[in-house]
Amino acid sequence: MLSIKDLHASVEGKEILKGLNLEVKKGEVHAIMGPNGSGKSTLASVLAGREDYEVTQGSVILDNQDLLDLEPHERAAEGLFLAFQYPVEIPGVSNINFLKTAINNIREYHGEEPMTAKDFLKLVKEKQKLVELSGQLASRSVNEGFSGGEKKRNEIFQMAMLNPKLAILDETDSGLDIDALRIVANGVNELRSKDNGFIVITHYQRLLDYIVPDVVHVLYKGKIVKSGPKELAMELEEKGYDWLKESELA
Amino acid sequence: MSNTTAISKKDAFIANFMKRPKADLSSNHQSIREEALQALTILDLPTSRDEYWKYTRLTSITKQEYHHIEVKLDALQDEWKVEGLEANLMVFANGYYQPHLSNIIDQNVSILTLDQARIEAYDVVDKHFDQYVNAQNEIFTALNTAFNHTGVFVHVSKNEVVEHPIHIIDVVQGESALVVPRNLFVVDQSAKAQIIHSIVSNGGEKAFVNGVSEIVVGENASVEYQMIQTIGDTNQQIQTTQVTQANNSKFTTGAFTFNGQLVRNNLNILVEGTGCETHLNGVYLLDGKMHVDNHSVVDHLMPHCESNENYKGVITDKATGVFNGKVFVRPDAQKINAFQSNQNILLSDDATINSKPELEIYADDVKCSHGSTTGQLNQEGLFYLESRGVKPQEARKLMINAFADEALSEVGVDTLKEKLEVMIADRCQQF
Ligand SMILES: Nc1ncnc2c1ncn2[C@@H]1O[C@H](COP(=O)(O)OP(=O)(O)O)[C@@H](O)[C@H]1O
Ligand SMILES: [Mg+2]
Repeated sequence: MLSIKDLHASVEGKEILKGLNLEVKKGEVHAIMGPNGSGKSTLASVLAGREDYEVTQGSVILDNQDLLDLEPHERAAEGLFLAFQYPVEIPGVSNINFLKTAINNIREYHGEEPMTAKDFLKLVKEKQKLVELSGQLASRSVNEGFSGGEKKRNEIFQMAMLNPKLAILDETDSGLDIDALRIVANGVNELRSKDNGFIVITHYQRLLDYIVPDVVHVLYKGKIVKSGPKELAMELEEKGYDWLKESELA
Repeated sequence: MSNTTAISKKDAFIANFMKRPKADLSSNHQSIREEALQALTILDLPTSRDEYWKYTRLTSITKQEYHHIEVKLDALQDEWKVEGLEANLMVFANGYYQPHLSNIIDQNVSILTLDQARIEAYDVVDKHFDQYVNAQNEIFTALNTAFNHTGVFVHVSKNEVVEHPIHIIDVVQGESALVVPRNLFVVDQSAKAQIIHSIVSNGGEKAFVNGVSEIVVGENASVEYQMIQTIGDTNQQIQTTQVTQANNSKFTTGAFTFNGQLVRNNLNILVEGTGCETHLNGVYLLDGKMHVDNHSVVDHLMPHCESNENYKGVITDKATGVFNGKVFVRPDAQKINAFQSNQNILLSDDATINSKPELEIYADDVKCSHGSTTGQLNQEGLFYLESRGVKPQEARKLMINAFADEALSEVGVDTLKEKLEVMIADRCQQF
């Protein structure tokens, strides 16, 4: 479904991603781990189409569609979703209003009619329950005055509303207490299906107890240096990354 | 030499005002008129050397020739009205009253033309007319006082509440019309009124509206005055609003400016009473070469008052915004909370804002803050919205809308608030 080949990307003239390869098939969950500064958020930003990042080489294909040719909103319409590591607050823009616009813009992209108000509200109710987000929070300004945990739950709520083909979760677990972590993980597990895929970026093995990955990758200095089954995550938790650095140097 | 040309420029400008035959006035009002005429012999046209007019050049107004164009409107356009609002309607076209389009519902209040009021409510007019504005120092006020046509007179007596908002619609029509409306609103002790003032264009071109309104807010009274300016792209307006507040009164006002070649609003609020509450809001959405200048003064003379000022501008193309807000806190005015903010979003390199919030505090036990910000749309916010599938132009619209809508929080007439939200959203579409 998602195929990343030899991806090189730089920011402010500095190369961060240095030939990254990754294949995610339908129905799979891939975890990406790696030390701070290795390029995990950069990968997420490049996939979502953030402006400051320049792709110098390589390709990103999502279901036969070259994502790098598309604008951010077109990538979303093609089924890509990024849950931000640091969700922004947007005062005055209502969460619900903006989601309605997003859903209808995506439907328009596919030549579909806008969703009826009734169907939309039904969807909101259903998905709100999934992430245990109160109706009050859902209808407030986007992330404004939300706690860290509420912001992350709002990301998952939006993901549930948009029902993407491929979702990237960038450290959605960091800063969450165990209850919030369980809620976020539940949300993801409910949405998992044979038709979609997830890339879960995390520092901690504990999230992977709840969202069990099919493959674990280690990203180091802009490249995937090791991939393995879910047990790799536990090994990393135990040994850290140093042994990999040595083997990479070797 | 330069002196004589300056004088002749002024005289040529004033001659436009003199073209319209003067109404007969009572001796009292005639003498007010004479005094204003006298002041005009001394006052000069402002230049950019005058601090008060530093960022607004008036040649586009003063170099033109104007006419007094009497019109009878056939009908009101829907977009001039507030949908779903039952209002007391007072309609004027080029300053001429349109009785067939006006409609007064509430009988417990006098809503008249100023001409009528000069006869029917002589005592109230006599007591308040021209008692608050400064025709001696301000040429455009003097011009209005000397040459005003008619306008709206509202008198709400003690303890009365005007159930339906009063909606004044000033229509500008024809080529180079000169319109000089004068309004007087007197709201007595413990009375309440909401006034909406729309200035609209019916295909008018190159008009100049030189308006003055005086608003008297009595003890414990509550007045809301909201002005909507959709004056048209080639028309110009200088609007002076002079307010005085007595003890424990509440005054709320807004200036919502959507177009106009040059618009200058002078809002002066004298808070003479203790325990008063004052809200000033504004939104200006400017493109092309529009120039909109909001000057405000809130003068706190007495203690235990609160004033809140919040103006928001979105400026693109080669348009210019000017904001100058002064808050005075006089020596006797202890325990004052005064808040003042002017925020601007510039969408193009050639867009300009001159923003100057000022506080002058002579009392020591006060809480005051003021600030001005100028920036672009938040790029992180835009990317966030777009990454969720929102089209770039929709994302911009959502963000601009959200920014401007914040200045609508004090609009008390729900249907008006909805109208303004729609107007702002429609206007943002063009940015
Ligand atoms: N916008 C940016 N401007 C400059 N440098 C950046 C920017 N974003 C990321 N970087 C740099 O790229 C490297 C990788 O960062 P990042 O992708 O955030 O790592 P991770 O998410 O794995 O911790 C770091 O050295 C970081 O300083
Ligand atoms: Mg990161």
